Amino acid sequence: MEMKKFKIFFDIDKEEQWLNDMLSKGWVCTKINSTGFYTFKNTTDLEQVIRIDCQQDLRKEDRTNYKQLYEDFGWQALKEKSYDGTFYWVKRKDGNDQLFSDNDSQIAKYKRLMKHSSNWAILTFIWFMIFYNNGNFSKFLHIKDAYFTPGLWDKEGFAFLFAFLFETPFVLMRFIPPWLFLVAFAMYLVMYFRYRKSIQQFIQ
Amino acid sequence: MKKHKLLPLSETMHYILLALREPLHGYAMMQKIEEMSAGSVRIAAGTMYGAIENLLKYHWISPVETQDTRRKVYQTTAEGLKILAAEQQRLQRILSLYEGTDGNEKV
Repeated sequence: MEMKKFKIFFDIDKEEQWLNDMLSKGWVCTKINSTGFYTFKNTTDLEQVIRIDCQQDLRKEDRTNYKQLYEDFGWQALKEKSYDGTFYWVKRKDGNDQLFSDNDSQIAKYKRLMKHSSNWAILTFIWFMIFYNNGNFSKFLHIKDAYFTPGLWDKEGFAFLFAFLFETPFVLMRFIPPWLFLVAFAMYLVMYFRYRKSIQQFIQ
Repeated sequence: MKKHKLLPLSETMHYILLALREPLHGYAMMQKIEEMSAGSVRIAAGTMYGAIENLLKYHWISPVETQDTRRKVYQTTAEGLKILAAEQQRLQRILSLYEGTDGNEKV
């Protein structure tokens, strides 16, 4: 039997916890879609464990080496490719069920997450700055103001529809940046405090 | 002199540098370290991968050419051995304090 679930996580520890809770109820995750869809399959083997690792800076040529090492240690990759740098590893419980065995490497994981989210915040900020000129904020607040076609709102019928649809993709490019930046910045803050927490958790 | 980021060596780093005095790949390293530490140190996959990356960055270990194209094999470099020698001195000093064999100070 198969089951699909939709869920969005901001904290990979919570996501990991949830996947392991599902496992203990007899549902093993078989597919994860980056947009938040998880596919589960019935299993009778409850003695399995899932761990999430993040390796955003992994170069292509390092990937085989990285995967081979984890596989040697008994972990199976849940998905072959990773576009966002998160890797899901499954294995039968055997008493060595963690991905990290010392404090430094635990903290380093949260540091990688923080760095990754700060890159996104910087990127979206640059995008925002490109479209933010002469202090004109209204196009970010009222989507109508982001349409620049002269007389667009006076047009009618097919002429309106054509001009409207033609400009919409450009409008979205102009309208979205500050909102994306706000989301990315909020994510960065979450990751920053998670990193700080991990230092306290593992060092003190 | 500014202290190196990885010094004094953590238990993980210490064992890896010592194990890699002979060429080994990641999993073999873990097994050897378990044996060397009489079962008390068992390095997990993610920690092993991160430690290797870190040691490579400072050229304390380097990849060794082998037939195996999927698994990379590493060995401690001359620089890595120098680090080990310095650590040995540091630890010997501490040990001598434990044992009270230091010339000036007896415990």
